Amino acid sequence: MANARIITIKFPPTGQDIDIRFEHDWLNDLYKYEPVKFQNLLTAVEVLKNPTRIYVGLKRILSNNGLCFVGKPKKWYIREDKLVDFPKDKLVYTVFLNDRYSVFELRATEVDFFDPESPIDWAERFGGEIWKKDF
Amino acid sequence: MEKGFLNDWIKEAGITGPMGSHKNSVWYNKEGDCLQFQSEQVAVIGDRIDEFLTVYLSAENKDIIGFQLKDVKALVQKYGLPGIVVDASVKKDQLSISVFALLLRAFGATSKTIKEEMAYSNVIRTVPKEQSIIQYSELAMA
Repeated sequence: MANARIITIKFPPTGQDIDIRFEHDWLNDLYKYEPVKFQNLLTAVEVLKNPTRIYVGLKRILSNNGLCFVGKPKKWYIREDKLVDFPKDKLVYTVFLNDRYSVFELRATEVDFFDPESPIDWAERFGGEIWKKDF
Repeated sequence: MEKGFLNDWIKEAGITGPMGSHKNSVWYNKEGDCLQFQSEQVAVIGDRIDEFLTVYLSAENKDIIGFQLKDVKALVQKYGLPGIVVDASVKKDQLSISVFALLLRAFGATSKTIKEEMAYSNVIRTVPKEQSIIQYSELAMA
């Protein structure tokens, strides 16, 4: 399957390189339907390369695999072509991968009250935390 | 990473036409098996309501501006196509499905709290009537 843009990152839980896919069809759809999210691919790539938390198990009915990378990027697009500081005190940025390590969603989430590096209610939303950044 | 890399991705993916040409439309996200909709093009904060529904809030003012409905294939497998498909005659490999019917299937799949009921109600109100039917080829092949 070559119809994808692939970025290789060092997967923190194992230290091994992994390929993360951005399917061309998906990029095309995002470009047409959700332009601000498309521009925030910039933010998503920053989070994938420098996460603060990684969760496994997205609790989907047909597949309980998948990953969620979480981070606090420097900037994000709040509207088309309007790049602003990311509100790190209130939000984290989350990037969701399916079981083929193909990105399918990127968005902000409110921080967890007990762990401001994590998304709210993370323990209920994911199968488990597989990695956290040491500060 | 510089913004310029997105221009390279656009070329590699063979993307043409203006960005946002289909904005404010419901679409099926094949990679995530979900329906997505934003009525306003602004950065979103996801508010997970239950295993099916995530509400999109505007990062500017926290208004509800859309949703992500997950596990579309599972919903169809559980409840079948009747009531979801509104017209199967468009193309053999493509079905016209009701976005509202899918949302109602998800709503009825589990018992709901008042907050969850309100979330579904609010989400349905964000979808314009002309966006309530989408073409969905994945279902036809399921």
